[in-house]
Amino acid sequence: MSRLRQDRTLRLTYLRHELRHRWWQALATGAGLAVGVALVITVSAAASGTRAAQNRVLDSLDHAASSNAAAGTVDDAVATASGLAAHLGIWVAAAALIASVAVATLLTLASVARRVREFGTLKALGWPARRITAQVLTETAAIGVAGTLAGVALGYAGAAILAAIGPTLTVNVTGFADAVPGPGGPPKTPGHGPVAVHFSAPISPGIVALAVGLGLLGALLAGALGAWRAARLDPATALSRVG
Amino acid sequence: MYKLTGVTRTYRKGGKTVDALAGVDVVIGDREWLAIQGPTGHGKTTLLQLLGGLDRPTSGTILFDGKNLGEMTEAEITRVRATSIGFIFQTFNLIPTLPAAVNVELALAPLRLDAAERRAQVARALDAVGLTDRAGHLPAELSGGQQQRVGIARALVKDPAVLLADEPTGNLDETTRDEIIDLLAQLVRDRGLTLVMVTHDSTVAARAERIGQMRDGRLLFDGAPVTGGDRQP
Ligand SMILES: Nc1ncnc2c1ncn2[C@@H]1O[C@H](COP(=O)(O)OP(=O)(O)O)[C@@H](O)[C@H]1O
Ligand SMILES: [Mg+2]
Repeated sequence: MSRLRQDRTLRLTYLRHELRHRWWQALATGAGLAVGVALVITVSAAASGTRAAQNRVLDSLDHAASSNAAAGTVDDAVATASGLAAHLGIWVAAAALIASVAVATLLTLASVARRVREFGTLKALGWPARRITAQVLTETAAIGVAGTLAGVALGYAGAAILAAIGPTLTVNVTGFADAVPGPGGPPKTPGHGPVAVHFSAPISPGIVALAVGLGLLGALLAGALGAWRAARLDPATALSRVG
Repeated sequence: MYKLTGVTRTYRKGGKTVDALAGVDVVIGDREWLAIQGPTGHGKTTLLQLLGGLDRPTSGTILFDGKNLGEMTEAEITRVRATSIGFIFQTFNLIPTLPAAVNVELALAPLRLDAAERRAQVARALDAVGLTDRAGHLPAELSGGQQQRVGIARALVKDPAVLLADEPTGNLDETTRDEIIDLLAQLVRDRGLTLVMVTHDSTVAARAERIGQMRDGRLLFDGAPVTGGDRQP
């Protein structure tokens, strides 16, 4: 028990110095993950906000043109566009997250490659491969947790900014009715006047949980690959490699 | 301490093979100081790697304290490195982000020690190399000689049986070289360590009890210390 705590103390001391002196590397990896996580949150908030706004527009259209034959078609068309926009947003966010995990993985591997002699030296000191693995995983986990949390904060901020600058859609139902006349001459329903639909970007807890999970999973993947590379290194490189 | 019989190590690079070691036979006694000289590329580093269990022979046997290093499992050989072998490197190989004391402490990580004991041993090792007042310094804040002193403290802190040094003074000026060799000589004598030291420097080699010459993967002894001829720029 006390030995375990000892192991952890030394591992955390190593981690602390490592992060302090190679902070730019940690920052780049963490920031990459943060951007990916933030995009997932902001883009899905924007998508559900768009969907909500469109639904309200459709509601007022339905209300205005309930007896209009064209209304059904318009309804379908707008709903399809709305669905497409939402899906596109999710795909963009997913692609951004995958890209940021790929960047984090590459940066972790580059960092491990730069530290070949360091890991070789640790092996020469008698460190078992699993201890080196644990060290690299600890470092990536710390960066991953920090990056993911920063990403959640960024995502909320992004959604708040979108909601603040988002347009208020004004739907002039009379105008719509004029523009799409029914087959039987002039519209039967008189206009209800303009309907204001304010854009909002609501964040669902499920999406936040998903983004956090994916961010941490990505960090774990990056760390596992890096640790695997580090542990596989030939210890003799400590003696023969220079640089 | 060591008994090597017919030790070879063949590297395969692309299609062709290199016999880095072509049959080394040597007995290295307890508490002996053996210097190994020889031109670059003749197998000196390869031999040290085998003695330190960082690599395994292609054929032949390496007995360390009577146990065959070549037949140990990876876990066993890692344990031998952790408890019994101290490496000293030409390029010091300190971890650049860690203060001197933490660099030394890393050598104790694989051993079952509690915190107080570990810290006491680190303090003793730094004291033995005269660097107590530099414990918190990063490698970059230390001179080459001081960095090698940290390297020596790191090798000694576990109280090993053997020190393996690959060109330990290769990156140092002459004054610092002499200080480091004096320090090593004193520590090895006081602690009864076996020291195998690869060096191009005949002045350094002359301090050893025995000098071997590596030539084309073989270790030759002709009794008398060799002077000159092998100095590298
Ligand atoms: N990892 C390796 N892969 C392939 N060849 C190697 C490797 N290490 C050393 N060699 C070769 O083995 C020979 C001996 O190298 P080395 O033991 O480093 O010599 P020295 O230390 O005496 O300069 C050289 O020809 C070198 O190129
Ligand atoms: Mg060499």
